[in-house]
Amino acid sequence: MNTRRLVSLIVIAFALQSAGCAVNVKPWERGTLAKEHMAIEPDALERTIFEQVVTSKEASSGGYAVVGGGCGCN
Amino acid sequence: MAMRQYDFSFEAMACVNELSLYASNKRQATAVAKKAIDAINKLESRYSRYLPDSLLTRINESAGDTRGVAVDEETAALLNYSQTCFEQSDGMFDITSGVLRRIWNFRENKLPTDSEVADTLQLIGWDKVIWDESRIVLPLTGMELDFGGVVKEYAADTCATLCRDMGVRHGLINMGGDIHVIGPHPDGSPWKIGIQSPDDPGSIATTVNLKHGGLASSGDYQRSIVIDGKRYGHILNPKTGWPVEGLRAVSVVAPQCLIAGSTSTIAMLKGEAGKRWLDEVGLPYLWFDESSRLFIKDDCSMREAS
Amino acid sequence: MAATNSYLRHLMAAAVALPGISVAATPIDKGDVVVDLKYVHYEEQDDLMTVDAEYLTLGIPLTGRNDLTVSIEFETMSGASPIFMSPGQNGDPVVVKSGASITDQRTAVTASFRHFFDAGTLTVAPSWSDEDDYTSQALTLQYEWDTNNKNTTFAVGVGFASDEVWAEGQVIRNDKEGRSVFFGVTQVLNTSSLLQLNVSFAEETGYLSDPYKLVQVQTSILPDSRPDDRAQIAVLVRYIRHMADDASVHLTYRLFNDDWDVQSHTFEASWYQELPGDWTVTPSVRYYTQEKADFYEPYFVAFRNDGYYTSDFRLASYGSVIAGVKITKKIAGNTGLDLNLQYYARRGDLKLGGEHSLDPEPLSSYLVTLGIKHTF
Repeated sequence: MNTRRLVSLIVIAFALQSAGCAVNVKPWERGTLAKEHMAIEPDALERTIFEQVVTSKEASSGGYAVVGGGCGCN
Repeated sequence: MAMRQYDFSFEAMACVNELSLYASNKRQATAVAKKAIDAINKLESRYSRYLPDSLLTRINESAGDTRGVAVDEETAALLNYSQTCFEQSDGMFDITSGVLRRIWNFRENKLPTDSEVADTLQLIGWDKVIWDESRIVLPLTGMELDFGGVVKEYAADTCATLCRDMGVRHGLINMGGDIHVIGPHPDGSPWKIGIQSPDDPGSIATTVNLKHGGLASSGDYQRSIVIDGKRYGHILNPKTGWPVEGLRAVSVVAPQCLIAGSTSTIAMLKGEAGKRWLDEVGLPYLWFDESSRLFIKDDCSMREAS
Repeated sequence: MAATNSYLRHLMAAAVALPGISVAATPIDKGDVVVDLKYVHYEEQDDLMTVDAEYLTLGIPLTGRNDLTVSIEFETMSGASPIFMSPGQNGDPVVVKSGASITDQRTAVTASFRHFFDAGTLTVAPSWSDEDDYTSQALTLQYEWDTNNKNTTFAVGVGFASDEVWAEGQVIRNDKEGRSVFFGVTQVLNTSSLLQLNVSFAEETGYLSDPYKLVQVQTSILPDSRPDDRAQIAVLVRYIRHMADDASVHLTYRLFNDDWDVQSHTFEASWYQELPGDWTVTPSVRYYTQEKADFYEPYFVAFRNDGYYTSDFRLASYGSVIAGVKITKKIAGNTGLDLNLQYYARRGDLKLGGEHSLDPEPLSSYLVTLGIKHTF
């Protein structure tokens, strides 16, 4: 297990979070962020389908959203 | 056509205001913004009580003169609207109540005396005004009209109407927190409007998603006097001359910013009873109680666009 | 309620007399009903698997504080799967496939219920999936909230799954359980970019083998046999940045690791480009590289002490590339059409660094997704 790399990633996350406290984008400055293509997942259904396809060919899963049930897509 | 968002910031009516529009190019956006801002400036020049040559100043200076002042149609409609609010709020919403500012100085930590309050109340009362839908008479010397809570909101609506007439479908006008959404972002997503926390005007307590229509807030944001631990806010009851209690701030969503503004003002003036009244009115709203806790009425669309 | 209408009626009547107020009705925002329909066709070259699926998603606002999204999926799979590998003439593995074409049908339903609290949003989503040789019941719970004037969003979630898996014709149904937790932080960096960091842990227990797959150990053919416990972690970082002229770039990196020794890196990049006429074109690439499970071999020359064997290429050392382009078109502001074409190639030698598994039959496939979304 690549624990060291994981720890460093988590440290980055906290650093980002504390840097984030300085960020104060006002609601009326969010025109750009509110655009559809700036959404984290512009097409949620497509992501679901895509993850279903690749997890039937690859051994990895998770990270995108909380994972629920599986399928026997072998 | 791919459209871009253009933002214009301008000062008017003692606020920094923001107009955001989507247009195909900057030239188009600027042309619309210029006309819209001109219209707002025109309203200010007519209805500001600070400008020495405004129509409102002329009306106020005529106080005591029984000949009064003849007014144009737009002013007549504003006065009629204010009268409707007075009637519908059982006299709580009163554009003659601005004189209370003379005795309530929120910069000094001092309460007015009972006799000061009693004397000032003599000058308050829309029912004392003579208004025949073309000529207004302020019968007592010292009486004064104040379109605070009306004109800024009306300016937001006027601006939105003009923008729509000029073909703008996506945009928003923010007049110091009084907002009219012309239309959602081009992708259909709503504008996210931050609601200030009454204790800390720099921070946002929640956001409201709005695709169309008005949102206005009324409340005790900063100005207040604290004496013996008791807080005296700057929303004054025109009947008692004393600050109202019960709510800290109210925001209302309505088809027009003007209606949102007068509804939030009336709710504040009604104090604790304002919440039940707002439920009866049936417009989406949110309020902060005396300890600045936030409450949101159930069908106020507060959710994040997903 | 009489007072209500009369109050608003009086104010409206007085307001519309004002020249600056337009009579045009401006509706107050309420939630929208959204219908999203997708058709998917997946096809592997060399006549392996073919999948056709339809997805129907319906989003229904219940009250201002609740909404419900129901997704239904129908899927038909057919084709042959590799079963195991044997050593060929010079030791290179040779794939043995199932002779007859297998067909399978899957029906799945997910109901996702959201409640909007003042402080955050709770999502409760049960799901059911049914196949000829697999059933799954699952539940996910997620809570999302924000701080720092909505510039920081947090998400925590848990997921539970209870599955049954068997080979068609088999009487015994094997149980499999899954549990997962999810943590996510999304940070607005400035007016035009945001960053997300997610960490998820998952544990699966029970029958984690593939009932259709076999392995060759020396001269014996044995069933695929994997540990009955698998702990996984995934760490994902996403960066989204708005570029000039209505374009944005989405970059994703994911690190995955499990206690079967599988480790992988996933890199994704997409470019969203808006074009005149409400078109959007999104080219995307994905690169994936994986280190094999410790009990994977194409075939085994010796018996293992732990008794675990797999020759399922999913658990081998390889890399894969996906390249795709998605085109969307908006019609009348509330209807969207989309077409996504993706090409997939999985090969041993696409792996990044180190040794890769011997790969007798590289996989290549394509995925076509056709969608229509309408907001009422």
